[in-house]
Amino acid sequence: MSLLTPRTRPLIYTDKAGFWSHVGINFPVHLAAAMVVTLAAVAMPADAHVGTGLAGGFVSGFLHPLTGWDHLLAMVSVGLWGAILGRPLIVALPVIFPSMMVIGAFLGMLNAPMPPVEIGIALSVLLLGAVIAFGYKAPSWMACIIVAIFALFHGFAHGKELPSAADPVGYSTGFVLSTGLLHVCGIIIGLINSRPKGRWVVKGLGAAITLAGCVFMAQAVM
Amino acid sequence: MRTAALPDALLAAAIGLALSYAHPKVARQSAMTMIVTALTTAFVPMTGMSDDLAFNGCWASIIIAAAAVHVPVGWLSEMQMSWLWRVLAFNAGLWAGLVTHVEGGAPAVIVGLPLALLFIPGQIFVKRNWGIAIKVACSWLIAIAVLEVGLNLVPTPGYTPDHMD
Repeated sequence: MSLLTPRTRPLIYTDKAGFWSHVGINFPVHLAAAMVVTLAAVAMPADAHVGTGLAGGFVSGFLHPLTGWDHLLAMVSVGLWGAILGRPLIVALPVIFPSMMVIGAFLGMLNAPMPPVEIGIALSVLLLGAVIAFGYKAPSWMACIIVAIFALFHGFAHGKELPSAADPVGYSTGFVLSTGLLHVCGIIIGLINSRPKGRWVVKGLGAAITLAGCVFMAQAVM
Repeated sequence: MRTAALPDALLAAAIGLALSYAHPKVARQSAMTMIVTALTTAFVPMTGMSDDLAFNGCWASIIIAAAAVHVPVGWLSEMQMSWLWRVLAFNAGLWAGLVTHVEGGAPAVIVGLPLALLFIPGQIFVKRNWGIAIKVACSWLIAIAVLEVGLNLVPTPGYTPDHMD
């Protein structure tokens, strides 16, 4: 189908109950691939949070998850995995993650004892990448628990870094919104999974994320 | 440092998104109620209002308004739902105005209030069965508000080297 051909089918199929019957979408694979390549091209360098300096308000909080590959890949993976798993997890995972991240942030602020956070975050990237690469259809309860636990680690890290000097309210609002939007990016990328070629693109992305997770894990352990 | 602009904007957004599920006429009336109440409260002279009470009331109102999108269909009659939206809108306007009032930054409420009109695109989403996006956005607002209430209770640790530093 040419890009110039008017689309005649609905973007999202719905069943009689009005639910998305499948994540399956009439979305041109080549267009989706072009979007992925463009996103990759404009991505910021992998500075992994180095030199963030004194954190400020909303903008600083909003940019924080975007400037470190560990958070960024984990958030996108959550949306991507949700899209692969379909309803209800396509909705549940992006809801659970910010909610549990808030609890993790409180634990971070209270300096509660936690297993090594760096390892937890690296593990989240590694595992989420792997389930995407292998197209693992986890039961709903298991997917929710996995994502909730990883969200605690990410929230803990953010909570430890919340600024008291500047504007913690603006900062925390920024990072929750940014996290949510990264999930949405993951869901949009995941929409191509219903196409045979798109499935391979998604699996490739999953493999790349797993690889990045291995690097983070090596950094965290060493 | 805290300003009224952010809670005002988020509260207006929460009520705007929640009204996506209301009947269009009720949504319009409720949004107007919110805006008028907020402007009135912001500019009416009053004394003795505590900053903490105003901010916590505002965050709590965000949680309540955003949670209202999860009210199951059929749980309340249409009439009860329409009153629920109006009461929520009035409550939202009241706290948005109070926060602005205690902060003394009147322009903040004017900047944030147009977000109450989010129900206009929101109702299109709901009609097209994409209402789930509204629910997800509302869950983020709840997460933010819970975090902000907690920030008043728990001292932030201050900026420390990043976990990857």
